[in-house]
This record gives sequence, structure tokens and C-alpha cells, in this order.
Amino acid sequence: MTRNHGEFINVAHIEPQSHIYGPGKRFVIWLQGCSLACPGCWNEEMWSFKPKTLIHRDELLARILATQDIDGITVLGGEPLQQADNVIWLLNRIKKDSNLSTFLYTGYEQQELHTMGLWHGLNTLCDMIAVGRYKQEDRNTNRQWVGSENQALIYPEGSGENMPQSEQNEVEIIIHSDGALTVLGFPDTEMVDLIKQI
Amino acid sequence: MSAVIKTTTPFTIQEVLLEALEAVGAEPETVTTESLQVQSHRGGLKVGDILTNRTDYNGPQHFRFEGGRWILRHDSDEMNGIVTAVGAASREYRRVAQFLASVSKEYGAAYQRHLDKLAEQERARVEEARKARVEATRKQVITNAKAQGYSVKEVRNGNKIQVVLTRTV
Repeated sequence: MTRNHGEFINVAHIEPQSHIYGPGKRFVIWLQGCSLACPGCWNEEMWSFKPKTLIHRDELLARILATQDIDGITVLGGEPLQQADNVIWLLNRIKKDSNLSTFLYTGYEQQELHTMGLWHGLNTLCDMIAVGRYKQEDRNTNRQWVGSENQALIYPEGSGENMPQSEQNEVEIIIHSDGALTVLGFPDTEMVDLIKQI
Repeated sequence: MSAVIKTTTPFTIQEVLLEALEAVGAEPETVTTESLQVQSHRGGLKVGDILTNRTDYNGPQHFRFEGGRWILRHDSDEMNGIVTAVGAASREYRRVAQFLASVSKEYGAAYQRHLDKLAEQERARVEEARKARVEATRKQVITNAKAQGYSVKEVRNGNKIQVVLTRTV
């Protein structure tokens, strides 16, 4: 399965105004495709590289810039850096064309990003980076913004964000107009069970 | 002497027929127990009949609900046919066939309005049910979250409700 769709980004999900993936209200994009395949991953359905929704990067940028009343964007997945060219292009354009802050999640470790030659660019373009595989055995749903103990939250030099990470669990539940629910964040098992009962 | 002429258009809905009769200036009036004391007809009147402002030898021409439809009862020869309009624009007596053709036409238009009204009522009912379902879900989400020790912040975003749950360790 090809991972390269040129200037099209393989998108799994978009939440235009979420409140739990970084400081403030953010345009959140989950990218489709991840070969890291961490055991116990919350989003296994985002592993496949089969196109979910292909969106031209210009269109995605336009949608972000047209969204009112947001403080930043957050990119996660899937593994965003397995679509690195388009992700870096997008982060670059966001920095050039707006005052939005940028938060990137990646399953790669910082050292791997150096090896891949991505660290310098990300360090310049991101206000926050969450790095590291999700480790099921180190799962901790009480670390704001990340899911396991080993994952590190980095504020690159020059970051416009300084909101410290808290010890808290965050879940966002979106009730759609037909009564359907979308659950985002880090719900524990009890919460998941309760939601399933609704 | 009296005969019943069946109309070609089945007038099946009282509300629609009344609207059509109003539209043609027939000044419909539904017979009640009280009005039976002052109204008469050679063939008899019943509570629920719909009187018009047209009369003939037998008395006021009127509609009666029979066999699932409203039927105009009148003298077969329309002898002494007149219009006893109170407020109608015209007192010209038109033959029954002509009158019923007019009523049929207005009935069709009124029937369409009736369908639109029913559709609107159904749309409103479905919309109310949807709102109730969303509200019930919202309450349940919040109740469950609070029971789990979360603090709850609610944000309305267009037609969506975003519930942000935070539980500090």
C-alpha cells in the first residue's frame, strides 16, 4: 500500500474545535497510517495506510485558517511523520500564515527524529512536541496530553506555549445533533464502559 | 322528490371541506343540537351536518357524512334554488354541478395545505423527539462523568454539544 499521495494528506479524522489536545481550543487532525503499531494502541484503526480521506494540503490549510476562534493546531494519528513532507509543509505554512500555535504528536523518540533528519525542522516549527511510543505497560491516563509514562512533552526553544502539563485526566465527549457521541482523549476503562451504556 | 347527488370528488376530510366551502363563499355552518331547533329540512337534519347558504325547495342544502365522505344533499330539481348569503360577495345561485366543481377545486387546494400542515406538524414532532434524545444523552453523559469524579465544562458549538471532562489527580 503506497504511503505517498503527493500533496494529498491521508486524514483519519478532524475535530475543528477540540479542547483537550494542547492549550486552548485547537484544530485537531488525526493522520491515517502508522507502522509503529504500539501494542495496546488506542487508535488501531488508524494503522492502515489505505486512504481514509485524502485532502489536498492547500485545502486543509485553508480549512484551518478559516476556522474561527482557535488557538492552535494539533497533529496526531496514526503516525504524522510517516507523512512527514506534507506535515512539515503544513506546519511551515501555519507558522507563516497565522498566529496559531502548533502541537505535534509522534511515536518516534527524539533520537530517532534526529536520525531521520527531522528534528531541526520540527524544533523550529512546533510549539509543543509529544514524543515516544505508547507503552501499554506504562499506561497513565492521568498525564495531561499523553497516554504513557515514557512519552515526553517537549517545548522547543522559541516555543510560544508555556502552559505546563498537569496531572489530570481529560476526556472530551461530543454529542452530535442526532444524539450520537464522539469520545476523544484518554478515557479510563470505567468511563468507556459508562459511555457504551448510553 | 328529494335526491342525493354524489359528487365526483370525494370530500373526505371535514376540516378541508369547511375551508373549501369558506373559499367559495358558501358560509358553512355545522349543525348543532341548538341549531336544530331553528333549522329544518324536508329530508331532516342531523347534528354534524354542514349547512351552506344555498337553499332549495327542501330547505338548506347541506353536506352529510355518509360512507366515509361528505355528500351534498339537495333537491334534485333545485327548485326555488337561492343563495341566502349573509356576508358572501355574491348571491347568485349556481347550479349544483357548477357549485360542486368550484368546491372540488378549492378542496384540492385546501387539501394540499392540509398535507403541508401535517408534514410541518410531523417535522416538528420529529425535531422535538431529536432534541429530547440529545438532551437525555447530554444529561446522562454529565451524570456519569460527575459520578466518576470529573469536573464538567460544556460548550455549544453549532448543532453539537462538546462536554469537556477533567479529573485532577
